[in-house]
Amino acid sequence: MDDTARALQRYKELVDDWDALVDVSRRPLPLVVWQNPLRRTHVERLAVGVGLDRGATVGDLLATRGYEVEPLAWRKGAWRVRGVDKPGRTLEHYLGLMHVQEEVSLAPSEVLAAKAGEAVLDFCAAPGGKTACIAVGMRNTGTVVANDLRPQRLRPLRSNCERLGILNVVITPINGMRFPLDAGPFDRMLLDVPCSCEGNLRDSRPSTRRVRHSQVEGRGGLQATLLGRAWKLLRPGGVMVYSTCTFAPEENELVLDYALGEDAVIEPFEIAGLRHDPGVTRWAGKDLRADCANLARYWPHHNNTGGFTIARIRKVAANG
Amino acid sequence: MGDRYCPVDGAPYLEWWQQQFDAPAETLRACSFWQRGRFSIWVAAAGVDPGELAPVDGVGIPFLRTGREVWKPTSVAVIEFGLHAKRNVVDLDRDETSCFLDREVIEFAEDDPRRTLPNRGFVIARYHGLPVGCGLWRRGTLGSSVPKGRRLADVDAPIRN
Repeated sequence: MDDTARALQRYKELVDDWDALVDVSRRPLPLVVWQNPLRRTHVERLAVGVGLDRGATVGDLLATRGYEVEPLAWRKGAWRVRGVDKPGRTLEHYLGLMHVQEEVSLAPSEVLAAKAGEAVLDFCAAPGGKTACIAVGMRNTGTVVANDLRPQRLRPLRSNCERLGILNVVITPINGMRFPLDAGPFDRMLLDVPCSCEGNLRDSRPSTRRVRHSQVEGRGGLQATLLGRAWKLLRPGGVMVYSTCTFAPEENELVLDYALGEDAVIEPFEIAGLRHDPGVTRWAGKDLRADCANLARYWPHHNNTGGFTIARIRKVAANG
Repeated sequence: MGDRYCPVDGAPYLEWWQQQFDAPAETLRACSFWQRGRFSIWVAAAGVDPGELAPVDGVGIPFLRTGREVWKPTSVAVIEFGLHAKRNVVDLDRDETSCFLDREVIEFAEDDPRRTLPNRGFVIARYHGLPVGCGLWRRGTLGSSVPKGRRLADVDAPIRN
């Protein structure tokens, strides 16, 4: 049994096809890029300049350079690209016409569905791909506060915002556990907490391939603390998306079961074209909140992506 | 890191931008302006407000450095807002764009019509009519202000036209 199989062994009873999961986890991730909707005029001008139609997309531009591009089935304006190693070294990337991001990590911002003009908090924002998705989705209106504890991890976030022409982001390097409560309330919130990163097994970067099983249980306390703090910053009726790039119920359902009270409802959701499994309501002999079933667990072999777990939680009146 | 960002009246910066580049400033007029330290002006969407949050490590994008006699726009601001500029613009071909993005100095021939630009000042470098960064024009040469971390050494290969 190799490291990959060993890392996933604990999920044999949770997943439909464990062999397929292990098999796909040994293969590298497809490269995915999404077009920056804020730079439509730029794309149009470059397209005309290189002899394409005015309505050409970033996908079309990359195709003219010899990339094989395949539109994502579930998200408009995003493509899997093959044939060139580094789409981050292209003119399109330099000009902020597109961003390179792991496919399934586009899902949390879809689920959050922030609207123009809203106040949004991205609580653990670095390196900022999800922040960028949220901010451009709001068409440079409202405010997205992108927070992360470690200043060095905020550098790529700031660089990406500058490159993509994102004007509605405020970046803060504040310890989430002490985030000032008078900074709220926020309409929506993304809480993409630090986790054991089991879903990154396919990532080729050495730093992301180390699954830290000791952290599966050890991280729960930090995750629950961050959730508790963030929850106080969310307005009644507001939506929080809690996500991890890991499969472990200890970092997902168990955290929500522990930290959420009667003023929270985990809502069901579906992203058409992106298959997920439901959350668990019993794990390690413990019964959990019934609405934990509404979590979505994205296994890598179902969509040929990395792994992710996402919950959409609405804040309701405590007695209602 | 962690400097204060103070809201400032954007009027002088708008006026400078319009004069420097003979560019409509509608988009900029709808923005808010922020000062960081003594010489750094940032631009953000109108409704953005960091409130009492501290420390803050960024509000929108950096727009202008005002520390020297001549104000310098940032390359990211030029790319974002420079699409419709008509003055102080240098159009580059493919090879020149590659050099520019690799931070090389470009020297224009004596008979190059682009040498009609003023003797010295910050300009918008364009490729296919698309702003690609801020450059310093100096007596027929164009220096690149593309930040080191963003240089694009192999731009030639991916560009087909």
